[in-house]
Amino acid sequence: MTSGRGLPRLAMRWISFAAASVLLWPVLPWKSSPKFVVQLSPFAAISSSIALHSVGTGAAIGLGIAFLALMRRRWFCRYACPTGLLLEGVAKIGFRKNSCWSRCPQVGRYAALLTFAGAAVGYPVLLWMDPLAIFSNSFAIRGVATMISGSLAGLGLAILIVLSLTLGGIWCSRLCPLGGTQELLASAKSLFENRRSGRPDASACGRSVNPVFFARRAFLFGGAGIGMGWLAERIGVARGEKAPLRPPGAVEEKRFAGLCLRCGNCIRACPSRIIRPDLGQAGVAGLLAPRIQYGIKYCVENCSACTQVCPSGALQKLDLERKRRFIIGEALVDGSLCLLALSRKDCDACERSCPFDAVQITWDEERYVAYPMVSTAKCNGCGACEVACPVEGIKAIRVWRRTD
Amino acid sequence: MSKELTRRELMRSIAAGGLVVAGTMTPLSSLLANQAEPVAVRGPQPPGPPVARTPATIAGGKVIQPRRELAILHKTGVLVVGGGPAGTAAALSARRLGVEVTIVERYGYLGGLATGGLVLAIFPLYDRNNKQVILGIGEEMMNRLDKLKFGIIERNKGPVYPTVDAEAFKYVLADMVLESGMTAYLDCWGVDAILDGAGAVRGAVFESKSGRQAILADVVVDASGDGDIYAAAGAAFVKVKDSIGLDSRIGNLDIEDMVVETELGNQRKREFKSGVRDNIHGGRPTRGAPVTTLDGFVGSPTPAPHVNWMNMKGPVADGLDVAELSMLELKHRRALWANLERARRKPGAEQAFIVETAPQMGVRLTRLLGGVKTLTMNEARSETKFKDSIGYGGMFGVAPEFQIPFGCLVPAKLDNLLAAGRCVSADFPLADTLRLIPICWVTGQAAGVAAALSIKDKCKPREVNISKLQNTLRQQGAYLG
Repeated sequence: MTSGRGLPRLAMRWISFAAASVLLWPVLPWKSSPKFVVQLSPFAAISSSIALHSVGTGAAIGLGIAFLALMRRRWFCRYACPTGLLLEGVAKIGFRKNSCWSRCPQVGRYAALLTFAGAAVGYPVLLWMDPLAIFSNSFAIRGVATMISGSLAGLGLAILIVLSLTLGGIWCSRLCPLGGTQELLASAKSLFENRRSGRPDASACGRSVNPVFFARRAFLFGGAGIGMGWLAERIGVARGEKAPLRPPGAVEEKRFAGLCLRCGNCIRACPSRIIRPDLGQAGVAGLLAPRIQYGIKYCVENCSACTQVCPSGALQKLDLERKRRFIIGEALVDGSLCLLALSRKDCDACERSCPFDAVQITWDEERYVAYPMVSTAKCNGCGACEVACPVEGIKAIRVWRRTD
Repeated sequence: MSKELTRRELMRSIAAGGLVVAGTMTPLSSLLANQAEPVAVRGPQPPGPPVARTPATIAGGKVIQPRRELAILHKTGVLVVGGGPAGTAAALSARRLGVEVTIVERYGYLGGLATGGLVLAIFPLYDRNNKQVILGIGEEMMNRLDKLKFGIIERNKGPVYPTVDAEAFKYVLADMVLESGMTAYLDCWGVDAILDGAGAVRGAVFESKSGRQAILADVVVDASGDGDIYAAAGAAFVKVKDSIGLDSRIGNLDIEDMVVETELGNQRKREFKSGVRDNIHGGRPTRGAPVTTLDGFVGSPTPAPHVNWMNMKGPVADGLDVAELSMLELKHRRALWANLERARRKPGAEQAFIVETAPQMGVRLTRLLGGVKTLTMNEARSETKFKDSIGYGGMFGVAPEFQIPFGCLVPAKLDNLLAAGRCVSADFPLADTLRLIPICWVTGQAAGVAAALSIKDKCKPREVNISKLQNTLRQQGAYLG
């Protein structure tokens, strides 16, 4: 590239970086702004569209970028990627600018292939490698209430930074699946053009694309992706009541873990700070996906923030009315811990706290004791009762995943 | 001879008259005030002065109570009807402003549900930051309990709230009332209001072993819990029903049914040492009623060692219906005995016995005053501020600490009467919080101070200067924010 074109390009990259940071940092009154940063990714857009079997409005931006990448090879990396700019800067001050990894294969490409193939069977295997999601997730540090989850939120970007410090530009040029997606698109385009022009060995950056070689790789990784997606969905996803509570708007559990980009937008958006990254309780496939853990606050009835910021559609956008009716889980009473049921205290904290009048203290004439009864029809699992329950340690009323 | 006899008869009748006066009219305070009093003579007593008997008669199938004049037992400044948490707080705080105070209590002890009802939990006291927002007279009572062995536990440990010993609390209240120099009548049931020509309250009518008598007062504080006096005077009210249980104390427990933490695998599980467990592995509970037979309760600790208190929610019932109350109390006692026998099967509780069942049932709410201001749950939740705030209620569940306005204590129309305690003016959801003991202290103290100020300033209670009321409450140590 010439120095004449370098300056405007650098300016555009910085503008992109600043814009992404502003959109992700919740200073704007525009609450759904964070999702647009991650939606830029063609990798995420294609994977999500395949997994959802539909092209949603959210995927439009990413598919647009994909089109631009078709026109200009690696257009996104060169002009817009905030993660790329950051890592390039880090690599410049790094210990080694060598390229001992120059013979490393194009992992990013195969990662993208693997993911698309997995998406076809419902689990986009390496979707969490999306650099924009990783960038976005690092902003979630301030949104998470605990040390462990907080540090996990920044872990992805930290790994990339360490990688860049030690090995220079390996991420961008070899590992990044977003870059790989663009490479795939460019290869596909050149293959298509070659067939039309009849020239077998010309490609955009001089490297030849061998159609047989390409097809073999595509077949191999596609198959592996399908296998891994299938396996992840069968083994790695918790089922039934063992599945964790997901934020409102979550798609069905077996697809949720795959669709989620781990971008941390929902974690950051939650004013109650009850959305935490899952630490593997819900199976390996669900690692770092958001789960609800009620702490000092519950899922308040006048908020639908998390459903507004999801870039992938793992959390469907819900208005307040639909969000109130969305079933996160159901509150169940453990009579062996309940102060009222044990005649220890005249407690009715759960009944008082329920915003939906779903909890009713009921007198049982036969047992001559009162206990809280939860109306399954009214309870959406918002956790107000669990938060209000004064029992220390394990609460007497807790929200459980609904099994029916 | 005849002269001497006549004189002896005269002497006798004077002595007998004195005895009658001593028996019927000597208040608690004068009994201990070292006043000279005639020595009671054991055995048959001489006839007293003739009393006009006016029994009810049946006329045409109806029972008719004849019109009659009532003896005036006493005249006072502030008359407090009811000696529970609100009544004692009202009487003590009014007395401190130097006015004459008379307190009348239906049972033979003071403290109402906090002692006789065995509602031993002093809740809610704290705001969201665990700062105590209910002080004043109630805090003084708890300070006195602090000094007694086995008087009170869990003090100043918010959000954990204190538990008191009922007998220690009865003693503290008796001590404070005797010290204050007020007049007290126990075992004396307020049954009617006395109105003047203008419709303002001028006192109340009481039934006791001395019969039906009147006490005249400048201002009446209705701390009866059920609003008996304002209802009798014709003030507007809302009748409500709530659960009615019967608390008890169970003693000789080897175990304290405290929660113990045990290590079970990797997870910390909690279990009740003697408790029943729905699911031993902490697994998923079932929908609806608990799976296990929840029985054999032993309650939670009290200040007295090896003695627990047990709460009972009870069914929803009418607290103003004597037939319903009677049946309920009998059934409650039967159930408590059945529970004791089940509890004895548990390790550590084999030798347990019921120390006492509460002398009075846990009637929660019956009448809610139609006041100048009806405080609502929405106002409390949205932390509404009031110019005539007289104190705070503590945080309860999702409802934060909230201000209580003076208007809640003032009947919309009726004059010379203030309500205090659970029968003040509020909507039902909030009344369910206002009925709790510390908040009864707050409304009681405010009603007492307002009643005393209205006498000193010669105005109606509803026209009491609010800033003066608030300043006086602050001087008495109350918390007003």
